[in-house]
Amino acid sequence: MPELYSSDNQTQLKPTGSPLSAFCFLPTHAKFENQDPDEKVILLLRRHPVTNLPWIALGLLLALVPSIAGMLDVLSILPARFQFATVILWYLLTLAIVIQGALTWFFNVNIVTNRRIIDVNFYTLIYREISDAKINNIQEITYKVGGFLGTFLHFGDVVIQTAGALPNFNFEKVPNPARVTDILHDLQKNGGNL
Amino acid sequence: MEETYNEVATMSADSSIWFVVKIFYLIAFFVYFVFAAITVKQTYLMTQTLEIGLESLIRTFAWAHLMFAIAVFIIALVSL
Repeated sequence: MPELYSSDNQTQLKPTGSPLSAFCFLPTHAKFENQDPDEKVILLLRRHPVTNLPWIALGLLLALVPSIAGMLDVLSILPARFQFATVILWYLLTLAIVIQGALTWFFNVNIVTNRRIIDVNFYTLIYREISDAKINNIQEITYKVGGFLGTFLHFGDVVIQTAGALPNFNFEKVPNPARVTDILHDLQKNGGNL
Repeated sequence: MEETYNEVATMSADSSIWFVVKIFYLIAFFVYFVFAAITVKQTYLMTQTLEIGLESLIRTFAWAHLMFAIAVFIIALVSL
């Protein structure tokens, strides 16, 4: 088991980030399926919170529609009980979009441990994909920061190329990609130590 | 006599149309119930895959959401 805290920069190795954070360094309560007993989670990454804006904006817009429909009297062709049911159905649809957006953001994570990197993806309600690669199989790490929001809010993609037939990893739109790359380089160089 | 027959026929056709509409609404509410049930299963899968410390809160929310969906379906069944 490699020593995690072997380097002299221990002051920088304090846990940061809450469970809802997009960048959790040394998260205290994080565990994942198939984790080895001596495996330690070093980074837990999600997409930057600003990437949630599309579904939040859509949810807000959809929530406003019944009020607008009420003002325009669009539903008056229906009997009162069906008008009410239509509004309820509409809010349920909005709630479904919000729930799926929130769950997808919360559980689609990238994990870096002292042994490997793991990409957890939940694509639909019932389809998930979990891929991992050992730290010593990493060949090249590149990070890309682009676009107005990415540059302004400092988030981007970290592309990790692995050896042989193993799939490449793409940590998409994660906060602070330079620091993620730096941590991965340190782990690679020191065999799992920071 | 013929006018009365026509009125009754129109009323009957109207009520049949709204009965069909009611069935469609109930199907929509049932689909939402299925979505809520799948969400419960999904949250269990997700929280088994990744534990961060908010598992019980998320599972409780998913169950509350399912109960809400069942209640809405029953209310729709009774009141529509």
